[in-house]
Formats: sequence, C-alpha cells, structure tokens
Amino acid sequence: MTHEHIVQAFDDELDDLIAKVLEMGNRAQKQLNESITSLLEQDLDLAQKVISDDRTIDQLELEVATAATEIFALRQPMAADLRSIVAAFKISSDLERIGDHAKNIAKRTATMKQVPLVAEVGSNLRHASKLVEIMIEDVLQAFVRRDAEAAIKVLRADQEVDQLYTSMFREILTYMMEDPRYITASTHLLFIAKNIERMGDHATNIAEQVYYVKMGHYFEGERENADQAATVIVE
Amino acid sequence: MNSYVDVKTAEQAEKESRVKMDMRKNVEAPTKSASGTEASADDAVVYKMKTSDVCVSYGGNLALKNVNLNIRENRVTALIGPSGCGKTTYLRCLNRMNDLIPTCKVEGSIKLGEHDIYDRNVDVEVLRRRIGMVFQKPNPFPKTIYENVAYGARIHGLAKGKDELDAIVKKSLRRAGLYDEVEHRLDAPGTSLSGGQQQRLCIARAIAIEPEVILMDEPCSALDPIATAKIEELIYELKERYTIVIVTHSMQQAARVSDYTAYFHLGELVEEGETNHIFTAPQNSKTEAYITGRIG
Repeated sequence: MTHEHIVQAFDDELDDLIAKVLEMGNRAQKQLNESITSLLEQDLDLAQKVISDDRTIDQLELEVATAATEIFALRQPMAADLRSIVAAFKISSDLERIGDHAKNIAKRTATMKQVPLVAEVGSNLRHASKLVEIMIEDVLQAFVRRDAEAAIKVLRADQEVDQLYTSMFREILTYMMEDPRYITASTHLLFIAKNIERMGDHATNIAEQVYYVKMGHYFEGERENADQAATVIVE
Repeated sequence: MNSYVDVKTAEQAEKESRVKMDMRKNVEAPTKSASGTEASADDAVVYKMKTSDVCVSYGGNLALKNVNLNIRENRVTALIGPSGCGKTTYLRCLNRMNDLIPTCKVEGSIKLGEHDIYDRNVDVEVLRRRIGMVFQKPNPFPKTIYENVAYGARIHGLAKGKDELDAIVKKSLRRAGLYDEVEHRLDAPGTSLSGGQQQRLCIARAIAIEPEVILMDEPCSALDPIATAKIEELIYELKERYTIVIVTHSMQQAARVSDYTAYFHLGELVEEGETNHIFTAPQNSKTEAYITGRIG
C-alpha cells in the first residue's frame, strides 16, 4: 500500500509493531551467531550472555502480542493491514522459538567444555548456522518489503539446511560408533544440530506468513523437506 | 450440560451447511473478487434479483455506471462505499423508489426472478409489497403499535378477519424480535417506543406483508450499539425467510451481518464477493484502500 491511513496514529502503531518484530529478528539472529561462536570457541562468558539475553526476546514477544491485540481491539484492521498484524503476531512466536533454540545451544557450551569436541563437525555447524542466519535476515527483509518472491526463496533455502543436518547426523553417529568416549559429546552435538535445523523451520514458517501478507492466501507449493535424519542408519 | 451440547451441535451443523452453501455459491458467482475456495460444480445457487448494465442519472449527472450485480436468495448482501458512491441510489432502484424523483432516469435491466421490475406492466405497489424497505431513521406511522403492523396487511387484503390480522401482527412482531417487549401495550403509539424498538417495529411492518426481499438503508445509523446488535441479530434470523440487501456506512457492520459484500466507488461497482474474502483479501486496490481506511 502506498497510501497512508486517514488516521495517522494507525500508521504509527503499525510501524511500531513491525519495528518490534524486526528488533526481535535481529536479536534472534545475533543469538544464533553468538551461541555457535560460544560453542566453537568454548567461550563460557558469551554462552552466559546468550542465555540471559534470551529474556529480552521473550519480553519483546509479549510486547508484540500486546500491541497486536490492542490494534485488533482499537482499529479493527482489515485486508492487508489485518494480514500484516496476524503475521506479526505469528512471526514473533517463531522468533521467540529461534531464541530458545539459541539459548539451548549456549547451555550445552559448558557441558561440551568438559568432554572432547568432535572438531570436524564444527565447520558444518558453523555453515548451517550461517545459512539460517541469512534465512532469518532475508525473511525479515521480505516481511518489511512484503516481497512474496523473496519469501519463496527462503522457503527453498531451508532444503540446504535440512541436507546439512542429515549429513551431520550421519557424521556424528559414525563418530559415536568409532569411539564410545565420543558418545556424550556427540549426543549433545546431535541436539545442537537439531536446534539449528529447527531454527531453519521457524524461518520457513515466517516466510509462509510473509507470502500470506502479500498474496492474501497461503503458499500452496509443496514445502520440500530434505531432512532425512529420521531414516538414517549407519552400519 | 445437555442444552450446551445441543446448541453446539446445532451450531456446528449450521456452520457446516453454511460452508457447503457458500461453496456452491462460489461456482456461479459473477464476482470480480477471486474467492479462495475451490468449489465443485453445483447449480444450487439462486439469484433472487439480477441487475445488468444499470445506469442512473439525476438530471444530467450520472450517479451509477453500468452496474452488474446479482443478489443471492436468502443471503444478506451488503453495499458499502464512501458517501456519494451510488450505493443508496442502487438500493433504491431495486424497488423503484427512484420513481419518486422526477429528474431520475434509470437504464439497464433489473429483474426480480425472471421479470423486469421496470416493465410498464408492473404495478409498483405490488412490487413494493414483494420488495420491502426499511429506512435510515425509524419512521413508524403516527398510529398504535398494532396499527403500524396491521396497516399494510389490511390494505393488501392479506387477512380475512380480525383473528387473521391479529395473527399476522403477532407473528410479524415476533419475527422482528419485538413482541415480548410490546405485547401488553399494542395500543400504545408506535412513536412511544425507543429508537431501536421503533426500527424493529418498522421491520415488523415490512415483514407483515410477506415480502420476498427486504432492502435496508443504513438501518442502524440512528441506533445505539445495543439496539444495533439486536437489529443485526434480527437480520441474521430474517435471512432464513427473506433475501436482504443492506446499505451500511459501517464496514464492521457489513462484515458482521452480510454473506456477500459489494463495494461501490464513484458510481461504479468496484468489487463484489464473499464477505470474508472482501475483508481479508480484496482483489481490487480501491477496495483495499477503502476498507483499510486509506480513502474516504
């Protein structure tokens, strides 16, 4: 929509809502980056920071929910406005979950310090987390621009994350089989890899919301799932 | 507990049947608005009124331009749009109320069933019996509550005697949701009622002569929210028996009461479609701008 509302206060409220969602997104992205860094560099201080910063994201989610509820009650939004607010509401909950997964990774940093880290998996973890960071950034940009094409690209990008997860899963299982001393560390790594894969799924959920905001209906294309970990057997 | 379960079941059944009906409506709907629902072919959709290429001018001024809109039977169709968009003009064409304005010229075709209502053989009084109207401000006759409702039935010869007339008055007041409030004072003047009651009295008066279509021109604009809610509840009940077309300035009201919504702008029908689609994902940017409060 190029025109502004007759009631300008409505525009201000919508802008504030979107700004809050973006702030959540930026923080979630940063949390992901720092959680992986804390893990790979065994930086316990950074891990602790990630854990405590998660509260800010939780708080922002409540603020988005409150603001959206107030707009529903006071402005009775319609059409694209309505879709944007519903989307902001749902996106905030996906971002909050991304924050939780980052916190979960950070919590494992302390444990991983006590057991041997399987160094080879590290580069794959870093690569997957970078991909998810880019997905989060791109999907938030798409939300601001109401860009359905960009949202579809994010949906497609998740396949690479899924494939990486499957290969990490296989790799970690192999380490476990080779040397039982790696089992503790490897189990934690499996969870960490899964955390990243789930974050990618949340980014695709957001992409579906962006598509809905722009198009007025949900994305009907097949949501490709390249996560084959559920069927992996290493012998 | 039992009654709760019963109500819920009935509601679900109602909802399911409405969904089915709506799916059917999609098929032949001449709507410009793409509906999001895929529907299978079904010829159950019934149009109570069909209007094609309707143009209306006052003097030399064109107030409506080539409006093509079909009104579905036993459904509520809301006409929305900014002031001067032609929605009231269109409504008034549907029972030839515009005949009363000397400079008004109506062109195109407006059919009730298969018959053109502007045909020279049409008796306008009979037409207005079949297509009743409720106005913006409640306008009861300066007579008793009873007489307000009985009047139309009597002049149209719908009752053979006092008992039949009593029955019609009672039934109409009940259908208009007013009977319980006035049963002990049917001899009181209609004007002694509150605004909301007066409007329901006017609706009772309109349905006493068993119309097929009820036109409502901003029926709640002079009412408080509680009286408005009662009228809206009434509209929901009335559509079982009647086809309703309502002009409203309140988009929220259109969203609440109607099954279909038509958006008018500068004398043109911009978009028409199922109400839930019009208010969540309209296809036309003008509709979008209006319902989101970007143009007035």
